[in-house]
Amino acid sequence: MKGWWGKVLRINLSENKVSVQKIEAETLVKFIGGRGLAAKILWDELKPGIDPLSPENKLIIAAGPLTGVVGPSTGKLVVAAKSPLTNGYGDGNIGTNASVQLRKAGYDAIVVEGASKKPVYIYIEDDKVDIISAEGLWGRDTFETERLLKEVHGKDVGVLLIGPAGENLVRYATIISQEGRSGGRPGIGAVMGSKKLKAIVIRGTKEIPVADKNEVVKVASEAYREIKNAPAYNFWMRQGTMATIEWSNTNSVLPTFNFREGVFDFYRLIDGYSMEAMKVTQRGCPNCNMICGNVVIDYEKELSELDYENVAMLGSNIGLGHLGKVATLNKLADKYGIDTISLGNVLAFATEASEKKLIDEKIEWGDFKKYKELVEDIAFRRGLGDLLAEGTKRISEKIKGDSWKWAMNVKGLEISAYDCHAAPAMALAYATSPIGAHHKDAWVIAWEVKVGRTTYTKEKVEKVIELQRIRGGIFETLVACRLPWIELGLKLEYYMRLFKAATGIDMTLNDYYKVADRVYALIRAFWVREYGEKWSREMDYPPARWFEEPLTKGPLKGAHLDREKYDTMLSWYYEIRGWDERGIPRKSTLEELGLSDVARELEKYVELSK
Amino acid sequence: MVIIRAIGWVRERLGIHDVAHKRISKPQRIADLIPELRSPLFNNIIILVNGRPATKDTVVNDNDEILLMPVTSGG
Ligand code: SF4
Repeated sequence: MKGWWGKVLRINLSENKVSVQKIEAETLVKFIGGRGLAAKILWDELKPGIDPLSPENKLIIAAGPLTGVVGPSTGKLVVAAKSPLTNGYGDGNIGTNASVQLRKAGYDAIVVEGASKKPVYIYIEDDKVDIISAEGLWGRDTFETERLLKEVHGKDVGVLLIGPAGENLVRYATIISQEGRSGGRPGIGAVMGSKKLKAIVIRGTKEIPVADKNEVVKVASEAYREIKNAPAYNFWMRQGTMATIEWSNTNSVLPTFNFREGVFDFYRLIDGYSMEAMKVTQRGCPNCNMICGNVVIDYEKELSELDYENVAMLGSNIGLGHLGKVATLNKLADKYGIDTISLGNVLAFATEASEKKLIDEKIEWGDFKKYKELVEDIAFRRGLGDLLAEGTKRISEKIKGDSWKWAMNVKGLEISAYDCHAAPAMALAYATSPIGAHHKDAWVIAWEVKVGRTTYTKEKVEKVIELQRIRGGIFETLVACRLPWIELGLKLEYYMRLFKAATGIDMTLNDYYKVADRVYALIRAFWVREYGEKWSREMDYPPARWFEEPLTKGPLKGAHLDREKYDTMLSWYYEIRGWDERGIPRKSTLEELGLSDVARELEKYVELSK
Repeated sequence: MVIIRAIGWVRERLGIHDVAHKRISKPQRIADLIPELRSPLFNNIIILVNGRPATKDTVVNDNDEILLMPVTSGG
């Protein structure tokens, strides 16, 4: 079969065993790769109710048929596991040379099972797999560890690794690569830490099998050309996603003071132009001709790679209007392996909790020194950091008061950097995202600004689902970066053509949408199986703050979400997806998507609607 | 006077600083007021007039404020 190797590398760290498992062609066609494959493995192999930080959890590293193949921004892979932050399905993608090396080594995915008693790392060179002691690396930060590993194994290897946050089981620890490429927001780094696995180092020397090599090169060249000719290309190369700071502030969606407001008085001090003045170089993922990692010199005279999400969350959301200092917090998060989005939420939440006297610690908005101490305390679980390492949902359950209303998360995963007081479709996108609140699956806000902010229409719900199909379905299973499409307008047909050239399979966009729906239904089934009778539509609600506390500043002053209208949108969402009023896929929907086996299993936990 | 604001690459392509003003004697289509917008380069941009969704064909009056923005995604 072309396009895939049809092989999963299994490494059991409890038993020190390595094996290679074949994946059936039918499974690959049904779930494609990346998120689809990861969800399928986790559904089939995890016992519901397990502790995500126990050896029973599995860490999945999954590529897709386009990963590593020449083509726009195809240097990505997906990391997934049951999330210690949400207790549901968790995943994230990382742009890294490890994705290309994984495919060249001859695998579509790695499954890490069990847990080692002592720190180890895994070295993969094609068919040779070694589990090596990492005693000397444990406790070191991600930058230093990667440097040391490359000194031993060569500069060209791909490395996925965790820092102290993953080792200390911070519930929003990520997996890091190449000093700042970070993925797996829902605590996938903590799952890796729970297995005492410091790093995976990969070198591959094989040729990735594709159906029509000439066609791959032809389509890729056309696509690369189209990207370079896009009207926004030059500006993108200067600012990347950092241009969004100004955009978000203009549209009152820039998260400010724990998502109380959508505008920040000092946004100019942290925007794309400020970044340009500090920029020293630019980094990116493999196979990308529009690299977007803008590297600046931070407040401590070290390098830090910035993008919109981390600057908004560690800037305006904590009241910090100094880009050099924001860059320092960001660098520390990358070095320790902490998700910057959850971190910005947690720091803001702690500041508000201090202001409201729900915690004793004195924390003030914009207090860089205090925040820096807290980032370190979180990574090493010291003092208050031990509680903050649990994420806003668990902290709120502990400190009580009305803090649940402003614990800005959905299903336990903290919200990324768009305020939704006046963006019902974006709120729905966050609330129905398959991993908890994240913008990756449906970033609908630009479209919502275009059509009008105040309406709650079925058209908006359809748009959220369309974007989830494309972003969360196509891009997360292929696996490729969505930015050439969403930022520079590269047509989706290029990806379908590349998919055909790589696999020999001719799929229309509609065929692919069905794959996306299947993956979404499977992930939803995973959540429902975990939560059982506790599952309810309330799980698909955004935080109370957006309903109850209107914006007090900016052009949209007074705006807030309407609960009843939101609820109607949610019902439409379920209806279109073929899910019932509880948000559980109907039996008929699962059967139609070729998931009859999933329906049979799910029925053991909840009653399914017809 | 019509106020024109633009951000991001749209502002730079149009050569506007933070705000531009244009005098009009009668109501005018946005595409006539800012002819550069007819270029396909600007096919997929967001246009608001006084904070409300608009298109290149929307007619603006004296004192209206036009905001021109790129579609962006933040990451
Ligand atoms: S656009 Fe940015 S995130 Fe996407 S592949 Fe290129 S460098 Fe990576």
